Amino acid sequence: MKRIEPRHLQVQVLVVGGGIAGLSAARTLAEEGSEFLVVEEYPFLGGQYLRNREGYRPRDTRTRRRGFKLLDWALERDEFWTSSLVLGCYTENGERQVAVSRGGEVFLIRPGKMIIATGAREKFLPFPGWTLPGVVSVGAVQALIKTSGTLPGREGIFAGTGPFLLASAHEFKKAGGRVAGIFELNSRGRAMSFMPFLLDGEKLREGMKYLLSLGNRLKFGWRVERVEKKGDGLEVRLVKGRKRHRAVVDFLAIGHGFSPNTELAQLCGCPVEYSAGLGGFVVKTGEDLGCGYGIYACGEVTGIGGARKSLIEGRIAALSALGKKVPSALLKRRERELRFARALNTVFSVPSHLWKEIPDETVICRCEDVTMGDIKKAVKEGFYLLRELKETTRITMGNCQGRTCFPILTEYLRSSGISPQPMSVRPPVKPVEMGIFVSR
Amino acid sequence: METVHIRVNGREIEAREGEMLAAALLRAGFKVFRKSPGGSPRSLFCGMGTCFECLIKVDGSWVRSCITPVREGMEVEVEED
Repeated sequence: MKRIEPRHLQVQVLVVGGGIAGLSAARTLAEEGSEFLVVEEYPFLGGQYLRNREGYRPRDTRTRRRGFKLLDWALERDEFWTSSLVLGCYTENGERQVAVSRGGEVFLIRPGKMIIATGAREKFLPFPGWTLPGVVSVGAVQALIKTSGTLPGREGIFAGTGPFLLASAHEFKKAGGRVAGIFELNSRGRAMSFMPFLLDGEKLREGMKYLLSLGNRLKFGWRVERVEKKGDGLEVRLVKGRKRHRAVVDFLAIGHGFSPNTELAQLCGCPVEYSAGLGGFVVKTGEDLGCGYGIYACGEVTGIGGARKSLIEGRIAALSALGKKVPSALLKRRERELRFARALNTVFSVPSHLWKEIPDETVICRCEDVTMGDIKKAVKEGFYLLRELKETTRITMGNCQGRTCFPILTEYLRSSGISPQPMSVRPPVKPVEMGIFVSR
Repeated sequence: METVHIRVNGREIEAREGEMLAAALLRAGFKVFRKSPGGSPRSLFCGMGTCFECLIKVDGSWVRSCITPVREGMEVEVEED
């Protein structure tokens, strides 16, 4: 075996993430005449919101129109690397180097400034049976339809909390699927308290469209109790107080909000803090979206707030990275989006007691098959620091490196009065095969 | 839309150019992709490369099938139920 020599590159501004925030940052960098490179892990640009596919260009809202315009602009340029994974961030002789794996090669990039736009992942309230094939995330349903034109089944149930349940169910129905039910965890009254934050036209119209299409399928206050395999389908059992509901469907889509992908930012030395109103652990920045060391963060990593917040923050981060003054109107628009974000994450959150009521048999860490019972036992024995829980149960130690279970563990510990520290992150940021470092 | 052919556990299936491998597998009736360390069946879950549940072997390398586009002649191995 021979060590592969990495290729060296230098760039004025490196943007990590080619979703809507990264695209917005790149556009501003280009307008300001700056040299830049955007590195995107997926084989397509646009992130989860736009998910580039030929012929897929819905232009039903202003934000989507703006997003697809940015995407079409980016597709004409060479500064966007797809299927490229950032492995880590290192300092050598006082200079920052970012390692990127691309097409079987490793690149060491020395950026002047860096903009982190790594987006978010979904969050889940687990229940027995959530690891069964046929239980998917609500995001997976959208991804299957948008990118591959495939439905996860003919008939499905959507359960969890937040407006994204409706968005995903709507996409599924439009593609020809049967929505057996949409079960929102929170009460109707609580969901209604979100209405004032929709009063800005675009979001209200979108919400109304979903309600008109699926309002009769939407039920409030229901939670999935367990799922079991039944023939070729799944039997989903739901509960609301003393009421029970049971249905056999092809698939169950679940989602309980989002959690920012802070791993790379943490590895680069950016501080993170827990904020329930912003979706969990978020990258902590100043008003200019800077987190020190010439690093800036934008989009979902600074707080879960949706595409419009990402568009605005991408511009702010790019201007700040170039040392330009950020117009106060832009900062004001960001404030408005943050208010929306806080309302969204607060109204559509999982009630704290439900984390404590997760049955012992429920798998929490899917990669390592660690159950709630295993965690409770370890906590009872006094192991409640993350490091101790890892050592005793193997939680967060699997392939996904805690991306799915750590937000669950965080909420469970917080509901029990323990405030966990953020996860410690080590390179590679995501698992890669050893083969990329040595020639075969 | 162009059709591409891939082999899954030795069986040839058709896929659509540009789609992700996980979608082609589901459509061809492969519901289980792999087993967890404890032996329970797993399949596509997050659909965006985060959870690693759809990890399978393609031409001898491990990939996340939800973010891997299909390619003519791919040799795919899944752990069936």
